[in-house]
Amino acid sequence: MNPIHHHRLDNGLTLLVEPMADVASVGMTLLLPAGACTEPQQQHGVGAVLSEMLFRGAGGMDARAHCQAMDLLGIKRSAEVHTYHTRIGGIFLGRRIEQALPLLADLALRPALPDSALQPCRELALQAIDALEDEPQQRVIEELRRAHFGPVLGRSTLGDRRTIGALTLEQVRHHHAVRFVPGSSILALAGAVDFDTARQMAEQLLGDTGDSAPLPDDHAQPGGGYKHVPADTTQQHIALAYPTVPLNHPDAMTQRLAVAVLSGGMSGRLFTEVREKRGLCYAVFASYSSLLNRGSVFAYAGTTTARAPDTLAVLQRELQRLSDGAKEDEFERARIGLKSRLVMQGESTSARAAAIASDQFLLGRPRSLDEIEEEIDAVSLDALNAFLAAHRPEQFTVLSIGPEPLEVD
Amino acid sequence: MAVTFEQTTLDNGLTIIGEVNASAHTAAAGFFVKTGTRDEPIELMGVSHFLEHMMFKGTSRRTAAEVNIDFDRIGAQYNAFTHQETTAYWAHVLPHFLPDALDILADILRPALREDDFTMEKNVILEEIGMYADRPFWVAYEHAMERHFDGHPLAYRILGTPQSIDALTAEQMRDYFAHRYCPDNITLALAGRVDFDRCVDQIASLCGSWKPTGAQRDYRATAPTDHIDNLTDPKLTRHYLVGIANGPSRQDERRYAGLVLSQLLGDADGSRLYWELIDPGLADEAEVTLHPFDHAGTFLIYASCSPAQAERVEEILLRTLDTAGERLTEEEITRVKHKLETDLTLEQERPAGRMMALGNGWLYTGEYRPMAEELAKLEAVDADALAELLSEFPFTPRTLVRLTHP
Repeated sequence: MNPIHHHRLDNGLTLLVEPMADVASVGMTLLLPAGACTEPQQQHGVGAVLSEMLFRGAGGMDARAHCQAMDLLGIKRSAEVHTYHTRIGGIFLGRRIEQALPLLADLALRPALPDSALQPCRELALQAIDALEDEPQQRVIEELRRAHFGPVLGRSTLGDRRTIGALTLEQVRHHHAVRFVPGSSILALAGAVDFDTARQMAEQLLGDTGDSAPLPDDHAQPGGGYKHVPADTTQQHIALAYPTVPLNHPDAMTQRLAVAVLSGGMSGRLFTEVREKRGLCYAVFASYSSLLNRGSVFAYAGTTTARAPDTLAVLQRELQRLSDGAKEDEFERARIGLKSRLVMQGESTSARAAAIASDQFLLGRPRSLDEIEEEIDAVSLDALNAFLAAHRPEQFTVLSIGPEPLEVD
Repeated sequence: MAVTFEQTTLDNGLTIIGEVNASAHTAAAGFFVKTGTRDEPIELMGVSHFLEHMMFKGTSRRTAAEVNIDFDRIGAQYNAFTHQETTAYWAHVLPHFLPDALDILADILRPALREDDFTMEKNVILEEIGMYADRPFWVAYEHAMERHFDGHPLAYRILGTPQSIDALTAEQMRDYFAHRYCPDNITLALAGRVDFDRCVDQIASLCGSWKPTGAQRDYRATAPTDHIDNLTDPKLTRHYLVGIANGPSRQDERRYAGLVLSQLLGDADGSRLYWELIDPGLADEAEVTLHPFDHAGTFLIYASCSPAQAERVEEILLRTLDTAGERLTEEEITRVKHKLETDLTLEQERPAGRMMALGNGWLYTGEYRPMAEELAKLEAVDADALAELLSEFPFTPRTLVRLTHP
C-alpha cells in the first residue's frame, strides 16, 4: 500500500503526505493547537468564535473575495474546534493544489479578523449552543463528555454562553496569535499529491517561526456517577462511558477489537441483545475513542421512557458480560470487520488525511494501512480474553436526557 | 481511472447494471426496488419502511441472527434505506467477498416475514418514530411534505404514524411484498472491482425463479398550492423554517440546472443565502437543495435561527428566492459548477458512492451516464438555462412550515 512521507519543517511543523493511486482529489487536515482545552477559562468559546471569523476574509482579501476564490477552485473547507486542536479541513482536486493550498493557509494563518465580524460570529457561536438544546441525541454525548472527562478535557467545543457573550476582538485575535502557531501544528495531505510539491508549498506557506504552543496538562480523574438532564423529549436518551487504555497503549487494538465484538456490525452483542431480541430501541451502539493518555468506551441507546430502565440494564449487563470473554466466531467477525473498514478508509482521501494527522498527535507518528492491519493480526483470541478479564468496566459515568430520571446503581 | 459499463436483463425482468473499475480496492452491490411510501395505500402508510426492517429478519435459509452474522463474517458495510420512491438493500465489501454478499442480499430479498418477528419489530419502528420526533427539522419536513402534496401519496410519512403502524398486520405486509418486490420492479447495481459476467451468472441462479407481477406506479398528477403553517413545540429553543417548492423531476434534463441553482442559492458556503443570512449571523443554517422525484420534483428550503430573528430571516430568505433570476453572472455559475465538480469527483472515488448513484438513477431513467457526461451536462448550464428553469419553477406556489416554541 501507500508509503507515508514524514517531514519536520525547521519551525517544527510536522508534514505528512500519503500519495494515493487512482484518485483525483486531495484531502487535507491541518491541526492547530487551539482546542477547547487551551482556552482561558474566562474565554471559553473563543475558539468557536474564531473558527467562524476565519471565514471573514484572509490573505489581504475581504470575506467575499476569499470565499469566491476558494469556490472557483471547488475547495470544500471547514474549521472545527476539537478538544486539543482546531482542525482546518480541505478537499480539492490535486491538479489545483498550487492555487488551493495558499488560500487554505491564508484562512488558517492570515485571517483578517475584522471588527465588523465579531458580533455576527459571536451570534453564530451562541446559535450553535442553542441548536444543541434541540438535538437531544447529540446533546447527551456532549453532556456525557463533560461529566466523564472533567472541567478541562470535557469542555464543550462549542463554548459557554456567558463567556462568549463577553468576548472582545482583542481576545479573539490574541487566541489566534498564540494558538494558531504553525511550528506546533500538523499538516496532513492524502491523495493526488506528491511529497516534493507538498514540502515546498508547506515551507513557503506555513514555514513562519514563532513561539511554541504547548497543550495544558490535565490530571483530572474520570468522572463517574449519574446525571439526568430533564427535557420534554419523546425518547429517553441514555449515554454512558468508562475509562480504558489510550491509543498509545500496546493493548489499544485489543480494546478496539473488544468494542467491535460489542458493536462492530449488526451481529454485535449490543444490537442483538438490545434491539433484535428485545425490540427496546432503534439506535444502540458502543465506540472506542482516545485522548492523549486517556482511552474511553462510550455507549448510547435511545428509547421511550417506559423501556428506558430495561434498556440501561441490558446495556450495562452486556458491557459487563464482555469481561467473561469473546467467542472464536465473534472475534473473527470483529477482525475482518476492522480490516475491511481499513481498506474502505483507504478509498477516501479526506479520511486518510484525518487519520494520519490524528495518529501523529496521539502516537507521535502516522500508521500506514498495512501497519494497522499488522496490529490487528497480532491480537489473538486468548490475548483479547486475557485483556477483557483484566480490564473489567468500572467507574461508569451515566447520562440521560428525557422526561424522567433513571434508577442507576 | 478507466471504468466500463455493463448491463443485462434476466428473462424474469430483473435488471443488472454495473460500472466496473478494475483498479478499485472494493466492490459494492445494491438491490434497488422501485417501491416506497408513494406506492402505499393510505391505510398501509409506513409499510415500505417497516418491510425494509423485516427483510433482515430471516429467510427459508437463514435466521435473522444468521443474516447479520453472515454479513459481518465477510466484513461487509451493509444497510438498507427507504425513501418515498425507492427501497434499497446494499453491501460494500472487499472484492473477493462480493459473491458472498450477493448470496445474502439475494436471499434476504425473499424474506420469511414471520408473525413473531413482525410483532417484535413493531416496537423498533415505534422507537424510530420517537427518535425522529426529537429532530425538529424532520418534524417540520414531514409536515411540509404532507401539505405540499396533500391528496397525493408523496405526502405520506415514510415511517408511517404510530396509529398506522399499530394497525398494520403481517398479512397486509406480505401482500404488499408479493406484489411490489417482483423482479421486473428491481434493479441490481454493481460498482467497483466486479467480475460482471460472473455476477450475472450467480444472480440468474439465485433470482431466476422469481416471478414477475407487472407492478406499476400510479402517476396521478400532483397539485401543490400555497400553504403557510405554524407548528409549535414547547421543548424547542430555536425557530425552524422548512419550505417546499416545485422543481425539475428525475427525468427532466433541467435537473442539472436545478442542481446548479440550488447550490447557487443555498449551498452551505458562499451561496446567496450564505451572504444574506449566515455571514451576518442572522441564521446558523440556510440551505436550498434539489429533491427530484419520479415525474415530479421539489426544491427543499431550510433555515434555523433564534425566534427573535424569525420574521427577518423569513423575509430575506423569501426575497432571495423570489429574486433568484436577477444578477445571474457566468462567474457566479462557474464557481458553483466547480464545487459540484469536486463533489462528483469524490463520489467517483468510492465504489459505494457510485453504486448508490447508479442504482438510484437507473430506476428513474433506465439510462447510464458516465461521470464525464454528467460533468459535461453540468458544465453546459449557463445563465440562460437558469433563467429558463426559473420561468418554469419560480419557487411559487410553495409550502412554508414554521416550527417554534409557542
